Amino acid sequence: MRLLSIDILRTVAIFMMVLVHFVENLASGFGMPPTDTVGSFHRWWLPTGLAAPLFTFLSGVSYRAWLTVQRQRGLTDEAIAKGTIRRGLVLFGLGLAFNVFIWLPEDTFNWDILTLIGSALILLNCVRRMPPEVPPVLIVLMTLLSPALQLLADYPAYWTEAYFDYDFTLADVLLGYLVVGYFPLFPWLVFPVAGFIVGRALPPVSGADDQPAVFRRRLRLGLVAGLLGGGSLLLQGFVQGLPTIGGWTMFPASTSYLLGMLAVVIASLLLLHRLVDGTASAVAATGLAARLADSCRVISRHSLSIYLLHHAIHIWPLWAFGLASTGEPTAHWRTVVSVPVAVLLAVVFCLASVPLFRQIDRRGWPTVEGLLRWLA
Amino acid sequence: MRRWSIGIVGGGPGGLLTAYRLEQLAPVPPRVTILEADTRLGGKIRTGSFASLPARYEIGAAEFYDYSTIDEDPLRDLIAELGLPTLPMGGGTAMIQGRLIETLDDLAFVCGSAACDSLVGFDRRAKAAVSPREFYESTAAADDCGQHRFSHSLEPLAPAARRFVESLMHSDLATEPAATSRRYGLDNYVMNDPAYMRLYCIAGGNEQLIDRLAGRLAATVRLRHRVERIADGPGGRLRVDWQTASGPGQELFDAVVIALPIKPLAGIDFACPDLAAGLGRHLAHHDHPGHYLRISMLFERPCWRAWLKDSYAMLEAFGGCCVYDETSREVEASHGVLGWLLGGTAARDHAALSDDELVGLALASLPPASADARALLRETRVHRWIGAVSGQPGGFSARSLDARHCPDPVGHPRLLLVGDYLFDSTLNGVLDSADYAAGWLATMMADSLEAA
Amino acid sequence: MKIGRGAMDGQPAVAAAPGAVPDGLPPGSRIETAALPAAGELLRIPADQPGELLSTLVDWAAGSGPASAPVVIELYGGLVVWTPQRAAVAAPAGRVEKATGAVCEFAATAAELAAIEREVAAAWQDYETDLPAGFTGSSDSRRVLELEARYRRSMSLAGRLSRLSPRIHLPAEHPPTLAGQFGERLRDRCRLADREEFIDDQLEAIIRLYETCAQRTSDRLLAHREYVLIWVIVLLLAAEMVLLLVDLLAAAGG
Repeated sequence: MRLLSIDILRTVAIFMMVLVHFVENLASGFGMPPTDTVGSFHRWWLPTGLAAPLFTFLSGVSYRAWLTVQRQRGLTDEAIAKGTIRRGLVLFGLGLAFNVFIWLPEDTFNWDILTLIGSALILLNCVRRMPPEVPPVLIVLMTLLSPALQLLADYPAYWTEAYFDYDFTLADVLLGYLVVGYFPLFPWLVFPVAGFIVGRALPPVSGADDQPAVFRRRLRLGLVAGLLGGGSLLLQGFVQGLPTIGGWTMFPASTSYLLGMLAVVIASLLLLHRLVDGTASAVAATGLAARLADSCRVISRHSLSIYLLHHAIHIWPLWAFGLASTGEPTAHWRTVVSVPVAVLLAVVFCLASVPLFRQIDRRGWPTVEGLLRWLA
Repeated sequence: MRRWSIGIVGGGPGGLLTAYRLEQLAPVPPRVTILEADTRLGGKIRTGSFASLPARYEIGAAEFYDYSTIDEDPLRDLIAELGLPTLPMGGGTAMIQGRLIETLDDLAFVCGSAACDSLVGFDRRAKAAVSPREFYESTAAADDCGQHRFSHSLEPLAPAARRFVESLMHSDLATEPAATSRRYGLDNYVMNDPAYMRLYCIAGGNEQLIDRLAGRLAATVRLRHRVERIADGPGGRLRVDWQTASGPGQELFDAVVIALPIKPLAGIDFACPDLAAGLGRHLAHHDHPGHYLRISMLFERPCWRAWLKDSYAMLEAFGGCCVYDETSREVEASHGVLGWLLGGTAARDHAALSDDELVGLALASLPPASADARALLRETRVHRWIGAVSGQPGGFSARSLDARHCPDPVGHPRLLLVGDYLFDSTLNGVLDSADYAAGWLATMMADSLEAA
Repeated sequence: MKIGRGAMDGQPAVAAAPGAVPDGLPPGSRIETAALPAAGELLRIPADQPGELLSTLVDWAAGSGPASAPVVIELYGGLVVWTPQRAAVAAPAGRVEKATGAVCEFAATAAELAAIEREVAAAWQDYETDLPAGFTGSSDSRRVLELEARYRRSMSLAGRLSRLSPRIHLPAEHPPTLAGQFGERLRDRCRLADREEFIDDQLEAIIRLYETCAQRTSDRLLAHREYVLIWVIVLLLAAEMVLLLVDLLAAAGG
């Protein structure tokens, strides 16, 4: 059973991502100085740093749901492991292919979000076997380790004008994968693992029939979210001297950013789940609410396709225009339109994607999700 | 391999049990000859019957003592081994001053609370002095037996309580409190408590024990052979001379066991001076005669069940006597058999009376509830056991087991004595004695085999 | 002698009103309500010839309920007719107090034993349900609390039974007293010793199950903690390896 809260959040994440990417790639971003080497997006009224955490967090939640369904179908552990690893590898491969075809071959190993999610799935195959007390320890370790790794790896050396620039050496490629890339394992694996943990509190994802136990679990998660948020604010308040810890940066993902985003995604999911999931809410949804809900379901189901498509739609013309006008594909990157136009284009894309994918569903046309299901 | 020939003088329980144990313990089966003066085996175990009805009664030992609640009971085990069913026996009510006393409350009612308290105190002192374990092992202190008589232990009792205790115990002691030791008296008091000992009998008559034992023996039994003399024979053997109806006889034995009570033992002539001296010392130590007199009556029906509900009860008459309901265990019997057991001087003094006089006195001792007993009387039997038991078994001073069983260990190591009077005047005691003697002889046989 | 209702005179039992002394009893007879456990009635009768009152007392005692077949003991000039709800004690005036005391003490013992029997019977209902936990233990904290509660209940019952045991296995009194004999005979007739043995055996089986459950659960908990610790160690080692690797790569890249 799909949970509407997850669909809504995934839709929000996807649309945020579309918006951010359109604005970042077509315009100059949301007004930050281009010399800002690490790209701090600390504008609380702009949800620019929320999409990736939300998206990766929801991948963990969805994996938990998928796992429950597979177990209920009676699949063996071996079959589940095979399925998980296949999905992970497909996503990982898709991520690399995406980089090649969208971002040009020199950006193949920029370690974008798809390779992160693919790697996360493979790791979650191990995490699912851990006793429930261990994944939180994993999250804590990753959180603690990441600033040290960023320091060891000399993160700023790999970033120029908010762009991950690496040498095509094994060391750089691996370092990018682990620490310095766009979405390296450290610390971004925290979000899928957190999503996997939180997914247990969402019936039928958690499989828990006992309402008091589920309520207690959600209450605990709410408290944890509160603590994380408080921790983020404390770090920002008292550890300003260490930007990788006390700063609010996405690249690299600082500790306070990590904690704050965790707090936001957990709280968002719990609140939305409380509000919109459940029989009463589903029955009561009529008219606009029902149509919106349905749209969210469509978008959520095709989030991967939308992710790939929106890149193709705004990047390929950009490269084509640059190639045609100057001979350099990236000539007009970040400068081709103004921010309002970029926003408008993003909104148009978002609005158009709903009827488009409804149509695709109705006609049964192949999608990336279908390919993924077929392969894995 | 030479088989020993062993002569056993006395065909009572002592002689039979000695023969039985010898056959079990001897390394090489001996040739055993039992010489019995009477026309029957069994001695004090004898079950009689009336002529007018097939009604049984016990002439001698009426009950066996069950020690199995405390520890092993070889006699009970033997009876079970012989396949004999047993029946429990209970009792303990007393008729004092014409009133039935069943509980302490009754005693207080009849004799007064002072008497009741006095008895309770005596009871506690007795049980403090003799524990069930000590009672079982008959561990009599050597310094106790000689100095203190049981009568001294009764002095602190209130007069009514003393009369009650003496009535209760008279038939058990078979003698007077002044003639027996404190310890023996206390033993005979505490044995009324089921925590110390219980009573049972053999269903169908106690004499079945004798019959079964005799049936299992390979020994030669010679009845009507009265042993008159024991002398030294050639080769260290013993010559036993006897007298039968057809004349005298003699035989040589490698060993002789004399399983006789004190009185007939004293009637044997021992030719060897040393042996005679040993026997003399033995007799002097153990000659403390106790007496029993049993009066058994057959009635048309049991007219005593209103006051005698168990197997036996105590009456004040004759200085205290035990009256047995011999038919208490025969539910279907319409007749009744009642037996009086007199003990001690009462038995001795009344033995001179005629049977009819004794029957009259016994009937008069019944409470008013059985006033119709005389009219229902059909048949009577009287049996006198004067000097047949010991009033101080083991003597007043303790002797070693060897000394008890062998009067002349130096000169005549193969002449042994067996008897209940050496232990506790019970059948359990006679089994212990027989066991000891048989074991000793078996050891000697084994030694002689090795030497050969 | 155990007599059913109305057995003595062939007439159906007449249930006397609670608190009312039956007709035909000697003067001085009285009923004490709540003298027995569970608000039972005790009828105390000073009488020199208690045997003559047998049928009256049997009818009175049997009137306490349809399932009450009275236990009758006539002994040494005293008479006791007993059911759990009603007991009649008739004895000569000087002995009726002590006899009554013995009956009350027996009644308390019997009532406590019956209560333990009922609770053990209830405990058996959970036995089958809890059997699997004796093999696998339980990781569910609510289930563990449930098993713990049942274990405590069983041990409490065993404690109550062992405290009751000396009152059931009182040694035979000698010289005997009327009160002692009544107590002894009542215990025999109601088979308290046998019932105590049966309950003890049952409790042993029940307690063994819950002890096993506790052992399994404890083993499971310890194994789980060990498992968690091992994983944490694995993660720490992995973290160390990642640090080393990154350091190496950074050095190589540099």
